[in-house]
Amino acid sequence: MIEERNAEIKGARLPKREKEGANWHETTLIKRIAENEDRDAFKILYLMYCPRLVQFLRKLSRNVPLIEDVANETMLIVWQKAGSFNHTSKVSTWIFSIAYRQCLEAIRKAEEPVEMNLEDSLAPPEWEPEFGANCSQLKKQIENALYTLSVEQRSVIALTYYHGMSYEEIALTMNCPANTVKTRMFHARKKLKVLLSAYQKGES
Amino acid sequence: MNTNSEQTDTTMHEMVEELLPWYVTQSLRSSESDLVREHLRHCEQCRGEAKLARTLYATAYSTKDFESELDNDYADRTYDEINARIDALPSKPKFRRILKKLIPSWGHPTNWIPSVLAIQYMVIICLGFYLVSHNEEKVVYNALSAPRSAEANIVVVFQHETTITEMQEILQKNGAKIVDGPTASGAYLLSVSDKHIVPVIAHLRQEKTLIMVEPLSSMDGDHR
Repeated sequence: MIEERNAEIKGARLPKREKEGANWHETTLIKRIAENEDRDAFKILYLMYCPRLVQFLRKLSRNVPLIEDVANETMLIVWQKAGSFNHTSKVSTWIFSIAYRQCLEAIRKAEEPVEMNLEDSLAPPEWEPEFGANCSQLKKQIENALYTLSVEQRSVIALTYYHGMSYEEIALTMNCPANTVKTRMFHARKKLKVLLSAYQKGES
Repeated sequence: MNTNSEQTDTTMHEMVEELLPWYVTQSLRSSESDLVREHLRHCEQCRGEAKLARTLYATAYSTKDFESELDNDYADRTYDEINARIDALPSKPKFRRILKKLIPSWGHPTNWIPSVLAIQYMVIICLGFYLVSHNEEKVVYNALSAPRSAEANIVVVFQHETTITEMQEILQKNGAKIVDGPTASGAYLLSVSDKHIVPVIAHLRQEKTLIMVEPLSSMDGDHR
């Protein structure tokens, strides 16, 4: 399914020369959006990034309408501000940093609690039943334990484990020093360790 | 010596402990990875931490594909919606795109300084050209006497007791303007139109307050 999709994205209406050489990449897409308002390039970028953004944002909030709004708003900003992409970072870092800022703002406006109680975290997830049905108990507990962390700590965990970013890229995305990223990860891990060991003891 | 070595070990341990998550996801620089690998060989505590990091990574990885399919469907469903939103946006001003082509760094948040400096220098150069090309512009002053360009063609001497009002009346009546004077001898140089110099001299000579009225250049037959 994923392979089919990648083929679909790659096969979108790209100039023959670029298709043949397969040398088109994300910066080319951004350039084409900025210079020519190229909708085909935007569609490719949207199909590549929207799922990744939703996945990332889901780790930051459980509010599904908020996640969808932020993902779409982020991609709209990408369309409008493609010309301001300065090529000093990866396209992914730039897009994720927009999503991160937008999400923090949306959470603040929605007055959502950024941290939840341990009791809440151990409750079964209600936000996506189909997701829960397909996951093991451990996965569910990790997912729930994540929501006991601060939104900044959750972001570091999500960007590290779910999106494979280095700590330098995360620092750029979250606009903070690399040492802050390491500290956030350190505290997040300590907290998760306590929660998971409590869960494992309870299970045994 | 032992204390120093223990301190170094503690620092190394803390550093490695911080780097473990990115060691597991293989996103460290090779020098950092080597450091972590070496430390893990003899640190039981860090191996335990690495195990937790691997569990988190494995969980994330196994949920990723399932989530991806759901999110791909979402992206397919919502693309038309965002496309419609883009249609509704006001189109970007054309001049901005032209500017962007002329100055590629235009619009880059960190690269705008060279563009601004270039524009500033262009403005300074244009102003310089403007000043040089308009250097010969004539400045006109409205002074009490005739303009500098007016040439004196009559010399007159008033009586000592002549008042300024009387002088003004005589000059206005004859269309004459003072160009220079009074000189050391009390003479004034007047300028009148060349066409009227003869009748003006005749009129001035009839004024009782004028002691002397003489043309400065010899008058041609026409004037006489």
